[in-house]
Amino acid sequence: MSDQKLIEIVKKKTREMWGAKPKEVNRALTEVKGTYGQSFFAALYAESTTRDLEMTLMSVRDMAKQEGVGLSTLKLFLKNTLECNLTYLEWGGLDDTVALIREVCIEIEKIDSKESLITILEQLISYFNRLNFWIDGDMPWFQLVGVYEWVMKEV
Amino acid sequence: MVRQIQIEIGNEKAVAVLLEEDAPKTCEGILKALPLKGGAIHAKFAGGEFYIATPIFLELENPTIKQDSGNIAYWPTRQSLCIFYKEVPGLGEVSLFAKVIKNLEGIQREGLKCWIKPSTPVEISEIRTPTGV
Repeated sequence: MSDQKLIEIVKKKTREMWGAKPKEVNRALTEVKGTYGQSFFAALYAESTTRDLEMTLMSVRDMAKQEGVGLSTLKLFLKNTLECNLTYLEWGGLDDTVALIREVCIEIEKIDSKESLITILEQLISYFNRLNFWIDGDMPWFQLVGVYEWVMKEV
Repeated sequence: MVRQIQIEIGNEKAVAVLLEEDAPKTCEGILKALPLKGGAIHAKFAGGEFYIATPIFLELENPTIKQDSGNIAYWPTRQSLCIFYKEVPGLGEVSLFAKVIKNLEGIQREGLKCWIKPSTPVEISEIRTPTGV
């Protein structure tokens, strides 16, 4: 697959999920069951991993714009970062995102310029940022905060 | 005439002026991306602020930390457009590029609602025939 094809794949996925909430968001928040059948931690993993990935990839993008940071190092760092987070994306029920990232990880080796790498990074950053916004927007934070504050006072 | 944008959130519409002298590149970048639509997420640490995701990359410009009520800024780290509906001491630098001049009260009402139930639909668009300030 060429760099341009990979860029187009990620761009297309980002466009699809920008305006319409991806189905995997509902799955992440309510359908994936963890210990003792609760879905809370899957939701937490989905929210935190997408947010962390967006910020980490933003950092990699900043590094890529520096002189003296080699393409092969950046590719290795990107691949490792994505692969490290795959488990948490899976536990978070984000199966479609996992499939996309697996595809990206396979193709990273073929990226042959920093410009292409930066473009792919920017697409991934936008993707994870928007996905996080979808998840964050459906989390019942107000109620969770209320329970947390109450429980911590009781403890 | 100073260029203006409209912010629609929930049942409210507000008008903001662009601070083009202070943040020309940010204003241009934001204008090119309009209309912007998304669900508002409330800030978890900063205070009276909500933000929406944008698909654009802009460098930090006119950096500010402390925010007045009605300030609108671009947050490079999170590719987000931030609307401050209360005075906020701030946690990091963002690119201040606009200021609400009409119906800040409506923005404040919706901001509070967003804290209780996030993901209120927001649409930001350019006002082609700006009203007088």
